[in-house]
Amino acid sequence: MNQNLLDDNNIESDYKGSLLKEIKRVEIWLSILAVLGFIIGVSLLFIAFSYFAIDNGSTVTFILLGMGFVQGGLLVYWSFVAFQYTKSAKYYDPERISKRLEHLLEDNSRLWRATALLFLGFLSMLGVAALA
Amino acid sequence: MEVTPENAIAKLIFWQQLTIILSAVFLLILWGFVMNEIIMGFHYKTLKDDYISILFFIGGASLTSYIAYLPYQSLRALKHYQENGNPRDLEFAFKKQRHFWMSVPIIFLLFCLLWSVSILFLIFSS
Repeated sequence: MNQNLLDDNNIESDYKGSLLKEIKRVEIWLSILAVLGFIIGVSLLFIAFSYFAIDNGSTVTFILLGMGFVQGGLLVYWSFVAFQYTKSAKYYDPERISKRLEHLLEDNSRLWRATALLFLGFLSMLGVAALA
Repeated sequence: MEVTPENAIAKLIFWQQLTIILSAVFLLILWGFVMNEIIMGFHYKTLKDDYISILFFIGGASLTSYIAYLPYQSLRALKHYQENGNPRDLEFAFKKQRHFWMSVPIIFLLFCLLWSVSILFLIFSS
């Protein structure tokens, strides 16, 4: 790959304008999702923690509660990463060296990493529940 | 570590690919569940009575499949961008990502709406 392909100065101005608009459009939706994720994540953490304290059930229930606790933590982490990406999309400025496209892509990859982890946690919970 | 353009795009492609694989596994489970419901309906001859719920299941699974297809489109565009460096591909990738993030709150709202309508229906019909 050419070293300068992602250099913002190589992008022609009409492309730059529409790309910039497209990048900024995601803000509102990700903000809603970050708030939803934080609320659901914290609720999941509290629910799992309170059941830990009162439940004397089987090992499977204990494992599932532990996984629910981890899933809550992952959701909170996801909402934090989504908030960070929203912030970097908001302040993305192609003219400034400190806020270049590669930094935005790096934040975007963090968001997808958190999403993959969230899916992984959810699928493992489904797997444990199916095996039990 | 310094952030380089190649690293950033390669990392993004890797994590998006992993998310797509995991969502494909989830889709397989979902469609397996829907197919199981249909087969059970055939087996116990209850398909005629339960056709509304079966239609809801098929609709929900189809919608989820379409939503899972959006990051795949974005990934394909990112790979094209990696090969050709055409900014239009990058714009398309961001657009498909936005559609994916958009669909989740919209479906959540639709679900809440459907839920409240069915509750109101239950209250007024009893």
